[in-house]
Amino acid sequence: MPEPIPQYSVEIEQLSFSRGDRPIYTDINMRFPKGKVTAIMGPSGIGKTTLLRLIGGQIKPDSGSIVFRGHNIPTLGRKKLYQVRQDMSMLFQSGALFTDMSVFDNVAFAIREHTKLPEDIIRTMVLLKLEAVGLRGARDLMPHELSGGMARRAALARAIALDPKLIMYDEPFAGQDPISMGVIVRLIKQLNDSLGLTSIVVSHDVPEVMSIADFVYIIADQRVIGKGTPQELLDHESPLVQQFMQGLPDGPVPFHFKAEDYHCELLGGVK
Amino acid sequence: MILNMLQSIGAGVFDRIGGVGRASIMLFGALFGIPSIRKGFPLFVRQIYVVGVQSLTIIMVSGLFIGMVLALQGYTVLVDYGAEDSLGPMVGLSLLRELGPVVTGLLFAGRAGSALTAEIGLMKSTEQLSSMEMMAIDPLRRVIAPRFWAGLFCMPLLAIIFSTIGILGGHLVGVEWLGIDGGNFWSIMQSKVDLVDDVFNGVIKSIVFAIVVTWISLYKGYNAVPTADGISKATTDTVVQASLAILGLDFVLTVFMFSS
Amino acid sequence: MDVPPFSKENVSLVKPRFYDSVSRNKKGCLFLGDNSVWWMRMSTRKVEIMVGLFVTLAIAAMIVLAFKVADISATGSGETYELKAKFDNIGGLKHRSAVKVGGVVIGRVSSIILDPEDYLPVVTLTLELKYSNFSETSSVSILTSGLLGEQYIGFSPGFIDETVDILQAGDYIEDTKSALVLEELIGQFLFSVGNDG
Ligand SMILES: Nc1ncnc2c1ncn2[C@@H]1O[C@H](COP(=O)(O)OP(=O)(O)OP(=O)(O)O)[C@@H](O)[C@H]1O
Ligand SMILES: [Mg+2]
Repeated sequence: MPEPIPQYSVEIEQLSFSRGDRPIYTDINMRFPKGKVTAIMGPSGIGKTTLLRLIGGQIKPDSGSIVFRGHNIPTLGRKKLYQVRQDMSMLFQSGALFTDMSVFDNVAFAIREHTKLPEDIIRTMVLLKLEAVGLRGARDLMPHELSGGMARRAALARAIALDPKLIMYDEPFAGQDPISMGVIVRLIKQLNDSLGLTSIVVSHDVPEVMSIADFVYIIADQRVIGKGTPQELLDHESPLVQQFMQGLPDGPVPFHFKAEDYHCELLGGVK
Repeated sequence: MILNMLQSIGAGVFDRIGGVGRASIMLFGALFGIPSIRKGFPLFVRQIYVVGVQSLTIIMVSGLFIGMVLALQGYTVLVDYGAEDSLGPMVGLSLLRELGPVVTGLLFAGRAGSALTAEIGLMKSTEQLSSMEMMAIDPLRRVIAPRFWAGLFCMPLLAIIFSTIGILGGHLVGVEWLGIDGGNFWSIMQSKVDLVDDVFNGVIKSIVFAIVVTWISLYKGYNAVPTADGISKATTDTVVQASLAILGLDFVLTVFMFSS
Repeated sequence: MDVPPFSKENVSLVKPRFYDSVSRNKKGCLFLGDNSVWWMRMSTRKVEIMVGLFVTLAIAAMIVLAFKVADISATGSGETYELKAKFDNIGGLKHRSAVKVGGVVIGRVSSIILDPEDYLPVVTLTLELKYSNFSETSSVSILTSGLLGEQYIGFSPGFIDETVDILQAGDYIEDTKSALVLEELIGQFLFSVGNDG
């Protein structure tokens, strides 16, 4: 029986990308279903942030296509790209709050730039978002007065300010205590369910990701090494996937950045 | 060996040309990228505050002292020829034609230019520019353009203030202190200084310097390597290159304006 | 070194503008971090006022330059007309040198060119229209203010009666005396001394 054609928000096909001589991705294929939470996991430095930037059109791939809502991102002109970006939003790994504005103004920034709403409506919208991340009381602080976790939550509030169609979270849980972590996990899920937006979550926190993700990709070695629902992955037969899910240091996925043999190098290159 | 050298020289030249190209594209984006008058104007005003008002103190103090020193040195030379009445035009012309625009430009590069580079560089390194791009807001329009226009607007004003305060400082030393006749000081200056030839040409110089200094500052920041030493290098580059550009351009402009 | 304990009194030493940013901090406690960004919190209103003052100051400076330094009220602003004069030698006369009648400036030299036929300098004087009633018998001479001072044109108005016309715009002044050139004077003096002896 023919399956109903699944709706995808982002489709990546045959994507290759390299930094200088070092390939980051070779012919990778990924699909992010509409209205679902898709998680991307993988070792540090493998190129997860790079992938989000590729989707956002900030860097161009060497080859392949990235289709977002019918637009092939790498081929778009500057003007069109900015138009398409109004439908997406990204939570940066570093938060990237604007340091010359208060938390309130940070969250209000995109609303003020893209709409002509009156100030009292903007105020309501901003306070709603800040309440959602538990920072309503910190609205008048400047970014340098926030802790790392607070800054991350403020950035999260800013990312959801305009209710985009696609949100990319780069490590949303890093640096959060268990309580705020729980809040953020639920927030991502709620946003996804109530607004019907598509979420891409990059994270290393296996249990949290497993609890909210509808679909998971694990990438390593410039390619996708495992994909499926959380349950499928837990039962995955591949040793690579199992190593990652259980956090074992030794195994098929190398923990170290590619380097010369450890002992050789310590002994001054004597072979 | 030689081939390698040629190759690296060639690569350097291409790098430079590429840099000029990128800088031009950025300038173009800034010139024609005013978001909208309603949104752009408050940003512009705030940048005038940062770039102009905050440079005012250093400009006024330097102007005063330079005018006073000019009068003091000029007096010791002119008095030997009994020509101390020409102190007025000497102070006025050297300030209006050269020192006003040039010293203002140099101070502006050090005070505001370096700050612009560091600010933009830090915004880049903390991914603020990236995140603005992802919010579909062009940083060239939102960040670079208001700063560029504010720099362009402020520097001629600062140069005018500098020259005026310098002349008043010269008056202070020459007339109040050394005892030149005040009437002569002004009237001989008036007969020598021409509004178009001297005052306006000085303003034109400072507009040219404003474009160059602001452009270099913003480009260096926008293109900085996003690390601590990358930004410190960019800031140094701004001050050095902007100062050299001012001095070089000043010579060229002087040849065109005053050597008839 | 002893650090004084934190108290209200210490805080009052802080500069008012910084204090302003402290009080705007709604954390409930006083925040004494770096004040390098105090201006970011400054209200738009204050920024606007400061920028307004800055621009006003610049305009005031421009007015001082225009009226006190370059004095546009005295030159070029009123209506003018031109007269010409041909000299044998203009000495150190320059563009914009003054034209004076009895010490009063009535205009300026607006151009100096060499007549291509007889190779004599022709000086164009731009005079204020309110001084326009000079007769043909007027004379101009190139004078020096002081021993080493600048050269200017001394204009002596001629008599007026029915037999002479009034100078019209563009007319040549016939009666001109050239500049005294110091070297020539000394040369003449030595020559005459040599002849006598
Ligand atoms: N601007 C850059 N220039 C050159 N190489 C870069 C640059 N940014 C990242 N890289 C390289 O690209 C690779 C992927 O980086 P990326 O930031 O995407 O990793 P990541 O998967 O997000 O890692 P993490 O989980 O630690 O955030 C890294 O190995 C890094 O060395
Ligand atoms: Mg990353």
